[in-house]
Amino acid sequence: MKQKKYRIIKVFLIFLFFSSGFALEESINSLFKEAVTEYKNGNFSVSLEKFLHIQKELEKNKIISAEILYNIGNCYFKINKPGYARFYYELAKFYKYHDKNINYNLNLVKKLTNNNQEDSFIDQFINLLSFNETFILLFILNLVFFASLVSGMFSTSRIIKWVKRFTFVLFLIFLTLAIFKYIHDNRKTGIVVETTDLLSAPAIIPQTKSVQINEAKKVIVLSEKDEYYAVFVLQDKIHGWIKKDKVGIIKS
Amino acid sequence: MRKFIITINLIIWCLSVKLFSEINISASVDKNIAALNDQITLHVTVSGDSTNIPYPKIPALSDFQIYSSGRSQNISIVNGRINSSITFSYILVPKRIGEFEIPPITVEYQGKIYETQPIKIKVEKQTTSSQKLPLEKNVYRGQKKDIFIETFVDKRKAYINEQITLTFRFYTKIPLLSQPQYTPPSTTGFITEDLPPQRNYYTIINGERYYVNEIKTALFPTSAGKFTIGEATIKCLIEDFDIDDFFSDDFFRRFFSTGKEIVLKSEPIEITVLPLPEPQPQNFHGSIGKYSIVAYLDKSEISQNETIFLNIKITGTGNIKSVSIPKSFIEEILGRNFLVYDPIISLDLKKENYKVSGNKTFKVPITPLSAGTLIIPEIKFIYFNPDTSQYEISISKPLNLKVAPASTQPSLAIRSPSYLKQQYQKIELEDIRYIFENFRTKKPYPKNFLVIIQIFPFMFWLGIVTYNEYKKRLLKDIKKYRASRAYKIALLKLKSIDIKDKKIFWEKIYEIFSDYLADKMNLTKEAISIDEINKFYKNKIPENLYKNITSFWEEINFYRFSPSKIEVQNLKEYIQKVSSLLKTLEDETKKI
Repeated sequence: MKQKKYRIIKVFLIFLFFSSGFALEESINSLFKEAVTEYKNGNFSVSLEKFLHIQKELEKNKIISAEILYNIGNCYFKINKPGYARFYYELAKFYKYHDKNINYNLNLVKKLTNNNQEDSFIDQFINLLSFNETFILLFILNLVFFASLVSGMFSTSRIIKWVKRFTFVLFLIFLTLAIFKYIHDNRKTGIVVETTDLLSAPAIIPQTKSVQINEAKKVIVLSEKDEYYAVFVLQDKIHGWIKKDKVGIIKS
Repeated sequence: MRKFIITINLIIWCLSVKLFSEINISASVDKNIAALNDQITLHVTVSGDSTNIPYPKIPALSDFQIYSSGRSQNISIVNGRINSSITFSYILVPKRIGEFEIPPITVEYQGKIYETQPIKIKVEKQTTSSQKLPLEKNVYRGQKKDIFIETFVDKRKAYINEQITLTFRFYTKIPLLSQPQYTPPSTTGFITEDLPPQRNYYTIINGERYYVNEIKTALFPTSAGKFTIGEATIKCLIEDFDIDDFFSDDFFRRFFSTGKEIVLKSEPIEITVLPLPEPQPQNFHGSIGKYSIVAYLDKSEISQNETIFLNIKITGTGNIKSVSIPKSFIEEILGRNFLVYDPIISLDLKKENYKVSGNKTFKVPITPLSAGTLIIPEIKFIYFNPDTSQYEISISKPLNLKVAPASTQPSLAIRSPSYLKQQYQKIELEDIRYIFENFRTKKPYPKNFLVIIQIFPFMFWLGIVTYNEYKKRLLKDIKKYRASRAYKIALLKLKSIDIKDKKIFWEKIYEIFSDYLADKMNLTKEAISIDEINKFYKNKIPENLYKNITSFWEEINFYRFSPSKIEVQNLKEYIQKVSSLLKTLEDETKKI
């Protein structure tokens, strides 16, 4: 009898869990449609609010959607906030690395805000592949190389010898690339979301110099102190301190 | 009778109200000693049991400039009696140094004149801190002995949009119990621009060392006239004891005290904003400061209908944010040879040495409408320089643009400049791509997963190499190799024995045991005999174990040829027996 009771409660809880999931999905879908309609009608601020609401809900459930992030970026672009627009495009790119629309809009924002010379040649080369692609490719080469090593222990075939040599060279190249990629992607980077001042020290230390830093600039966060980040501005190649609330962190 | 008493009471009450309705007038100033150009706040309070409080008459004050700064009213009704008081506030700005007197301020009420006491004011070149008195409990204006604030500006007269630098300083020589809360002054009539960073330093005033927090703000007046920068406020918590009075209760109270909150207020500052001189030159767009103009093109050769950017860069000192170049102005300069679109503006603001400066670039998309060598004429940028109080001009160099005849038809329709009669021109302009109308979600997986799995192929290879090496070493010493594997193999074979078939069972048991012994002795299975067992184990293992082995050897040889002698049920127990015998033997063999 007791067991039966427990079973009923269990079934009820499972039903509740799934039904709540469906309800959430439904509400997000309808909100998404509303946001798209508002965007089509040119009500970008209203559309943005709705997309941001969806994003919050997804974050709560630890889910991501590159499309939502991209749409938020578009809304910010339309209301003339290129800093926020770039921040969301960069986040979207993180999950959909080779998406043409994301890359086009991101490059356009970079171009319009004079930030299209941020990356060095090495950076551009490293960024040809996403982090996941680089490491998946490295894993395949890694597997082929060690498999050929193992095969070489039991066979003296010339083909295996050649495979071993070829994959070894490729593996070394990709290993170097992957190490660079790992270091590159593990830098804490952010986007200046609002035009602000770049200080030569955090405000608590007496000093006098400051320069305005425009929104949409990409920065590498070097350290932090109180409410300031020590940053390196990639486009302008300058160091300085910037208020934390003016930087949107894209990689940490 | 009762009605009569009530009526009499009412008449008496009304008369008493009328008879005793009094008016009081008082006047006070926030400071009796002030500096020239300093501001003194005069408060005149008129109170009385009437709702109809008269206005006070301020006597002529030839030594001061006087401005009204509002009034505040307070009405209360207690036991049917109305009490009303109005405080009229005035700002007095001394015109000269000396000792002056504010004559009695009068108010006339019901034919009676009420007046205040005269107030003496001393105007000096510079005020001394000790004579500045607090306004109300724990609220201080100007200087307090150990902690005070001040605000000042670099100029009190400025043109519209000229930079005025407002400096706020907070001096303290005592420890604060909380982070001070700063409320900046109200700056109605000004555009403000923070001038970071906040500076902190020590300074000596009258031999005392003060720690100073300094905040600067750039103010740009928006229109001509007189404006007041309001009071800045600092709220902070200080210790409420006097360190000099060591033996007072206060000193010991410090251990239990949570401090005293004080509010420091700065003096309001009046600014006179001058209008720009008339007549203003043509094509002056309101830029104030000192600027220079540079114009350049992205390319010097393009084809007709192709769009390029005409970059107009204004660099200089002043409110660069407000610098503007209207599209119509550029259209006018370029004439009918070009289509002009809305400019894309980028700003680079600098605040070095607390002066707002920088550059503003207007990227104007333009499309040549005719082929040939087109000239973009010089652009004249007119600004007002407040340092010279004159309109000045900066001129860019003319630019040449070679335009090849058009070969293709562009695609996107866009409105042409208004002065051109054509309705639409076709041109390619960049816009962002459209939003996604569908979305997909996914759960992000840990980023380091792909890094960690890189180690697995190496581990796999290492495992195989290690095993191979181990095997190679074992094969070098075959005797040791066989002996090491004997027990494991025997146990595996024991587990797979079929107890249903007696014939096979005994054969298997024999095989397992003989194989085990053969591996241990490094002999062939067929070579195992009592003699060999005797040779290998005699006097090397305990006597009873040796006997068990020999008897077991004989027993299995016996059952091999007469299997019916034992019941099926007991075969399981027999397997157990073999297994435990092998284990004991293995343990003892290791000791040899």
